[in-house]
Amino acid sequence: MIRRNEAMDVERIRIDFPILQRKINGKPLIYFDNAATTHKPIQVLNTIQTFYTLYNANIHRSLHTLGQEATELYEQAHENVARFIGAEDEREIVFVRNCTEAINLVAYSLLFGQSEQVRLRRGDEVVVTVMEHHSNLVPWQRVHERADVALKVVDIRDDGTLDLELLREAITQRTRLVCCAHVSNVLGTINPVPEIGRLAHRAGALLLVDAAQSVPHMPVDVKQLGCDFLAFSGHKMLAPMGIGVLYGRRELLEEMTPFIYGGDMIADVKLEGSTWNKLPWKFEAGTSNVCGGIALGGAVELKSGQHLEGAVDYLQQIGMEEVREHEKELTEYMLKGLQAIPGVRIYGPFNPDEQVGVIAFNVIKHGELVDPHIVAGFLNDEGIAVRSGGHCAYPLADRLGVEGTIRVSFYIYNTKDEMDCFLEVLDDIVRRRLL
Amino acid sequence: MYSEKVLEHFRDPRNVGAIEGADGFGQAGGGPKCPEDLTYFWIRVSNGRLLEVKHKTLGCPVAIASSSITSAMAEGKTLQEALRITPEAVIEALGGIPERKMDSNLGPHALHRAIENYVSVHGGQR
Amino acid sequence: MSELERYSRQILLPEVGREGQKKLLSSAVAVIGCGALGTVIASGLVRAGVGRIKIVDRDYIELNNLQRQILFNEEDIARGLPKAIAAAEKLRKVNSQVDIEPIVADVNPGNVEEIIAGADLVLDGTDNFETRFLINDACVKHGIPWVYGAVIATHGMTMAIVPHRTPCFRCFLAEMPVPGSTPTCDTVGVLGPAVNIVASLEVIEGLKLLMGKEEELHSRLIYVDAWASTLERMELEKRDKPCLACDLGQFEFLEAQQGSYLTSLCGREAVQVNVRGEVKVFFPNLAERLNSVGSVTFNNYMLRFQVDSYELTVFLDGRTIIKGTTDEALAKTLYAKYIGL
Repeated sequence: MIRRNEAMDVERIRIDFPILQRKINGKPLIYFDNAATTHKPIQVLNTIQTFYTLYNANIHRSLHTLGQEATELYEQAHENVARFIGAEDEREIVFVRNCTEAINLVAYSLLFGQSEQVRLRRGDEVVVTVMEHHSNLVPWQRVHERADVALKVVDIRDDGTLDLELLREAITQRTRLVCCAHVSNVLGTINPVPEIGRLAHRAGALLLVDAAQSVPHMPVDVKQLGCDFLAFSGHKMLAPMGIGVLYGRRELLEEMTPFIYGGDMIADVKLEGSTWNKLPWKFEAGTSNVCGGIALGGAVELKSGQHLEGAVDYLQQIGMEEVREHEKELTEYMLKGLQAIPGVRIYGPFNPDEQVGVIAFNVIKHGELVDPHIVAGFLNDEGIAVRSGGHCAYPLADRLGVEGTIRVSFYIYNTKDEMDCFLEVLDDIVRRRLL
Repeated sequence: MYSEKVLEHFRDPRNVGAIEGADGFGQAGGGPKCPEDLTYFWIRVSNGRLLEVKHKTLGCPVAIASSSITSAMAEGKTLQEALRITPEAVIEALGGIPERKMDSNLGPHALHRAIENYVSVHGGQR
Repeated sequence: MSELERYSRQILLPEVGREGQKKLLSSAVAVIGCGALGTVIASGLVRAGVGRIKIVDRDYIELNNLQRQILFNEEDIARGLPKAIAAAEKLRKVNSQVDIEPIVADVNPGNVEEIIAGADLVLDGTDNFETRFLINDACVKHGIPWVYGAVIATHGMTMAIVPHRTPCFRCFLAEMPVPGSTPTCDTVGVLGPAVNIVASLEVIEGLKLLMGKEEELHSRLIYVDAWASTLERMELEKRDKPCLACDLGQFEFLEAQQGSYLTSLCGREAVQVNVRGEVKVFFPNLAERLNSVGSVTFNNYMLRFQVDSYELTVFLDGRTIIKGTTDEALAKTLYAKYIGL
C-alpha cells in the first residue's frame, strides 16, 4: 500500500518506467504529452513478453492446452476490465483497437443494423458537443451524410464548460443518441455526465460517452455515470497501443448488429446464412489483440499461478482516487505557475476540481499570438515534450478563435520538480527566445 | 533451449518488488547488446547480513531468471558472501544457458552495486 | 538516311560524325531540374538528337521564371502548367524523333535511384546542394556519369563527374553548406545569359560522354564569370581524407542520414522542414540576404521572414516552420529558394 507521501510515491512509480531515463537533446526527458499516449511500466512490458514467450496461442477454437490457457487469460482480462469500470460482467466489454474504433463500431451498428430498438434512421437526431475529439464527431457527420440523420452540435461557454441549458434545448423527441466526451482532450474539462444522461434518457435517447481522457485519470463507474456506451483506449492508461474498449449495456449489445464479420464472431455458418456468437465475441471478429487485452486487463494463469500484471492491476494498486488527487495537485501547481508568466493565455475552466491534468494555453507576445509550434519546438530543445496544434479537435479550436494551442497533460509519473523546470524554461522562452 | 531452472524462475520470479527505505540500491543495464534490459536491486542489511533482497527486472527470460536466482542466493548471506555471487555462479545455478548471454550479468551486477551503495553510505560497516 | 538529315550540321563535325550521332540517338539521359539551367540543357539535348530524355521537376511556372527559363511563355503560366510538362510539350514539337518523358516530382532518397535507372548520363539543372549530393550518391553508387552545374548572379561552375575515374561531387564539397549560409538566385538574383553559358557547357560535356569521348572531357572544375567574359579551368586538389561516397561507398544522402525531411504540422497550413546532422545557422548573414526580398526580424534564437503570402520561421538548427501552405513540395521549394539547401 503506497503511503500518501507525494514525493516518494512518484519516485517509486517513476522507476517502473525506464523510458523516463532517456535524455532528449542532452536534457532529461520531461514528458507532458500523456493525453496523446502514456508510457508503459516494466510490469506491463513483462506481461507482453511473457504472453508471447509462454502462452501464445489462438483463442476459442482449440482443445489443446495452449489454446485453452490463452482463452482463459483473455477472458479474465475482459472480466477485470469490466470490474474496473463497474460493468456487469465480461459480456459488456468488447475489446477493439482503440477508442476511435469503439465509437465507429456503435455508429456503423446503429446505422446498418436490423435492430428495432437500437438504430439510427432518416429523421432521427444525434446530439454532440463542439468540444468533441474528431473520433466522436466525424463518425456522426458521416451518419448524417449517409442516412440523413440530423446532427446537432451544442456550444460551450467561453471557459470551456458545457452549458446544460443549451443541451436541454438541443434534445428533442427525435433525438436517438447523445454523444459527449467525459473529459475534453484539449481543455481537460470534466463534463457532468450523469446529468447529461438524465436529459438524454428522459427524451428516450441513448448516451455514448467518450471516456478516453477520463478512465485513465479518475474512478469511473458506468452505472454511476448512467451511460449506455462508453469508449476508451488502452494506450492512454499504461497499456500498449492497439487495444481499446467499448462498454455497452448488455441488452443493447444483444440487440445490435455486428460491425465486422468473419471468424469467431459467428455461432454457425452455412451457405444460406450465419448466426452470431454470444457476447462479447459477436463484436470481436478474427484474431484479436489477445496480448494487448491481457496487458490491459491483467490475468492469472490458473495452473501455475503466474500473474500477468496488466495496466488495470498497476493502476488499482495505486488507486484511482490517488491518481486523481495527484493530478489535481499537479494541475493546481501548474495553473499557478503559468499565471505568473507574462503573456500566457490559458483556456478552460482554470479549476483543478473541474478538470483533469490537461491544460491548453497560448503565448501572446507584442500583442500577437505566437505560433504554438514555435513554443513547442523551443520546449523540445530542452527535453520537454508537449503537443501543439489542433489536437484533433479543430471545431473546438475554431470556437476558441485560435489556429491551435499548446497542450500539457500529466500522469502518475510526473512531478512538481518537472513542472518547476518547465515553468523556468517557458519563462525563458517567452522573455528571451521569442521574437 | 532454456533450462528448467530458467523457465521456473521466469514463470515464478522470486523476490520481485521494491523495499521502502532500503539500505542499498543498485541498478544495471543490458549494455550495448541489450540496451533495453534493466534491473534494479534493493537490499536491507542487518548485522552484516542481507536480511531482505528485492528486485525489479525488465528483460528476456534469462535476465529475469538471473535476477530471481541471484536474489534467492543472496538472501541471508553476509555481504562478503553476496559479493562472491558472480555471473558465472549464476549461470551454474541456472543449470547453464545455451550461449553466453550478457543478460545473466545484470542480476549480480545490480546486487553488487546495491552492496557498494550500502557500504559507501554506512562507512564500511561490515 | 533522311532521319539523320536534321542532324546534318553536327554530323559534319569531326567531333560528332555519323557514329557519334548514332550513339546519341541510342542514349538515355535524365535532366534533374527544369528551371534556368534545365530548360537550356533539355533544349540542347533534344535538338542534338539524344534518343530518350527524362525531364524531372516538381515546380510550376511563375512569371519571374520567364526572364531566364527559355522553354516557357505566358500562355503556359495562364494554363497553370508544371515545368516538366510544359518543357516536354514544347520539345516534342522541336524533335518528334526522340522520346521525352516529363516527371513532375520532388527528387528524394525514395525515388532518385528509380529516376536515374537506365540512364547513360545525368545532367544537373537543380537549384540546391542537397539534391546535388543526392544525385552524386545515386550516380556514384550505380556508376552513372553526371555533369554538375550551378549559376548565381553573373557567374557559375560546371564539372563532369565519371564515378571512380574523376573526383566526384563529394570529393569537391565534403559537407553540405549550412542552410542559410549561401546566396540563392531568389535572394541575390541571376542573369539569363550567364545561365545559358554554363548550361551549354554542361551539354557539351554530356555529349562527349554519350559519344564515348571521355578523353576529351575537360576534367576540371570550370568557373565562368559571364560579366567579365572570363573562363577558368581549376584543377581539383587531391584530398587528404578519403571521400565518403566514391572511396568509402557510404551514401549518406541516399540513406537519408543527411539532408532534410519534412513534417506536416497539425493545425492547418504549416509544414516543417527539418535538417539532419549538426547544423548551426548564422542569422545575421541570412537576414541580410533575405532583407532584399521580404521583411525579416531575428534574435539569437529565431528568425522570421515574410514574403508573398508565406511566413518562414527559422531556428538555430536549421529547422524551419513554413506557414501558408500544406504542400510539401512547395515547402521544400520555398526553403531551397530563400534559406538555401
